[in-house]
Amino acid sequence: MVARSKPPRAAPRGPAAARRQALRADKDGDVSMGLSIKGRAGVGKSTPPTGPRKDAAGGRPSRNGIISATAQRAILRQAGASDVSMKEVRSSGPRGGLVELKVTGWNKSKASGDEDGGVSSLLKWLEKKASVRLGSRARSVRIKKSRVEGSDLIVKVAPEDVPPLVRMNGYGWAGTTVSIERLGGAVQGTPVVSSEAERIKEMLRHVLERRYDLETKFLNLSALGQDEELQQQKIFESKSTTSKFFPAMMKVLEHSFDKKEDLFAAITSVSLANNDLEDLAAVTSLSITLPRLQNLDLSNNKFRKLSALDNWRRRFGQLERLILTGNPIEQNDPGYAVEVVKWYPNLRQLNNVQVRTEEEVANKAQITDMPFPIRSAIFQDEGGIAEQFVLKFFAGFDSDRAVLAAYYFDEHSEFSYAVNSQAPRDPAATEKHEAGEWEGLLKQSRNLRKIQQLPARQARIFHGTKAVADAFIGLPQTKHPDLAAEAKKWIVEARMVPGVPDPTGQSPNGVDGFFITVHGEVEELVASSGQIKKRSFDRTFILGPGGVAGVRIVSDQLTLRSYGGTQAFEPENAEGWNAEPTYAAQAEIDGAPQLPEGLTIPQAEQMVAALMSQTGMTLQYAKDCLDQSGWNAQVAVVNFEKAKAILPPTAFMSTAA
Amino acid sequence: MADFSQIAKQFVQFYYDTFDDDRMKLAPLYTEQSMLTWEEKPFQGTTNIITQLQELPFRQVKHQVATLDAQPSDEQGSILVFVTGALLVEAEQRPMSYSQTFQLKRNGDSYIIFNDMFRLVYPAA
Repeated sequence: MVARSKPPRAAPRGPAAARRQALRADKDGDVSMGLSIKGRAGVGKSTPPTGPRKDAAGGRPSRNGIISATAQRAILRQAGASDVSMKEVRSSGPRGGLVELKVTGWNKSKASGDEDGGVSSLLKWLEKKASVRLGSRARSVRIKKSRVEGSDLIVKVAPEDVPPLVRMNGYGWAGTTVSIERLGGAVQGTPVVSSEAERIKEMLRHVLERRYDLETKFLNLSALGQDEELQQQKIFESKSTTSKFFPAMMKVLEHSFDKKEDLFAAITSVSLANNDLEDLAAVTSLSITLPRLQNLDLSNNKFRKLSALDNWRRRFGQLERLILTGNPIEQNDPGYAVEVVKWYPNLRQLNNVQVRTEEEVANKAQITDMPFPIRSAIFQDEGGIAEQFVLKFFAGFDSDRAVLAAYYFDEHSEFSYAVNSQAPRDPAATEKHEAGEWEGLLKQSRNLRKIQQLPARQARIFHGTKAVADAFIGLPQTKHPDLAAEAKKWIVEARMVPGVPDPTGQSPNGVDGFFITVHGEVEELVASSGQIKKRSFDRTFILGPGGVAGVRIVSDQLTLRSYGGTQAFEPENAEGWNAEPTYAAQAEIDGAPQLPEGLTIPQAEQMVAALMSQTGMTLQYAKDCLDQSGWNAQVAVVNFEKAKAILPPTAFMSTAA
Repeated sequence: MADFSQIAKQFVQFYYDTFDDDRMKLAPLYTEQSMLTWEEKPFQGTTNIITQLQELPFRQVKHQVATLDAQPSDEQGSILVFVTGALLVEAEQRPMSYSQTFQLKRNGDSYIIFNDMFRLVYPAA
């Protein structure tokens, strides 16, 4: 699979954890933990933060790059600096000195019948609840020593563990309410909460922490309206706090992590079930905070129609499982499933029913919008955006470039091109070298190997709609082969990429976009001779959302070279080069359906959708079925009926069909 | 800060010199987030990428860059680098044309390869 970014997960159980388990089994309640623990308690400012998330940071800091060898040091410096902002209130007392806390109210709990009166499970609960698992400053609270004095449980902890424990004063445990207070000591242990805003942040952080499961990387935000803590804060009693609450919580979540990658790795599943949601307005920020979510539960809400989910249509490119059961949409719009499957190219399960097999996803079966036949194994698309772009762009380039420039380019877009006059020619082709064939083009060619002067370099990069349009119009007239009819002459690859600049400035870290590479051929009218010249080209686009077209070109780079033929695009020719058994399989994908003449892509798309809802087949099977039936809907249904009995279960979206 | 065109040029020179000398040494240019698309196949992460490069069916190779163009790609200093050129593999006399696009991302005061798309556009014949 090509999904980006699954940083190696942290090993949650190190030797220290194992040791702790072993010690906890010792029920005398007064365990001395020895030197190994002392080491932990002494974590000082100059030490990078410890905790599981540290290792999950997507690997080591990158080693030296090309321009400078100081990067690593810089990174380490930065890592050290971030430690300074750690929020734990630090003790001004001696390093490693323990603080005593008194826990009361526990002895009438449901666990009081335990051998030890519930002490060991209380200790375990205190440690677990006070530990921070979510965030770059994740750390485990350890109770170093404990003893029972009558109805009091006295625990000794490191000073930095005091605030999280004291904060638990008044929590319910095993049917009782426990009180936790500090015993004497000169050191001020309670956190200094400076403002109402700080207090709310702390509360939200706590809500998140409580609803997070480290093992399954699951953040359970279901039934928030019933959350006692949120109710106490009267969050949902006014419209204004209700609407601000979720975005605020997402901000708190983001700020808990130093790096976005760590956050993405820490949470892969979210439930928003049972929240009475009618649309996504209140929770839409989830897709900004956790764009790489794999599992999402939206069950038992009040979504009535697809448009209620529209906010997330182009989000969550890596979503694998989605649950929408228990929403009115099931009755109101039974066809919604087909549409939703199209929205998420990596979706495997909808409502716990398989909609794509792993093979289909791996084989890029997500090219479901009936594009031109895709000859590359790499074509990541979302809602047909990349495919539509390629179709429209090259058609527009051949017909009306001023309109094209206005449609896809804006003031931030860039275009440049280079001429590769050395590239070998296809010996089989009739194209011959002609003196001066590149002349007109070389004037603006931005080949950095040849153009050394800064002003010339700057002049040959076209910035903004107007400059791009002028440059386009200055290029020779062109005719590109038809993408659908002459697919063999093209290689088109698309890849979804994060971090594409957002000119609106709303997303300082960039937005998701496409990285598209196109290789092909083009007929150009040579102005001086009036001859038609066939050339090869390579072109790279970076696309981001926005503009009149819904996508805007961020970058467009073109290289023109002598016609080199199409042999390199043939899979069989690649064998000697990259001898891979997988090529046989890829050749099959390359035999993607050719649409019959007169059938447009949207029509074909509709036919596939119709057949899917009629038969319950998956997209891939419906597409194949139509292809084998010559794109005749009736024939396809007949063929389906014939083949139904022998189709594998994976051919169907829903086993109930 | 150096001009992005100059950085791109230095990068391209460094990359292919290193590739032709010892592909293993390209490892520091990639991260766990990096993606390489080598012809049909995607690879993610330094180890996978370097393994793939190591396993290419030739030992000696020489890259000849024919064109090189670059555009700044965001305000953080990322650069899109677009190269076409020829590959000379071992005893093979006829060069193969290739096209390669790099998305370079700033990492402190150096750069890493975020995306790398390689394609042969003219066959070994």
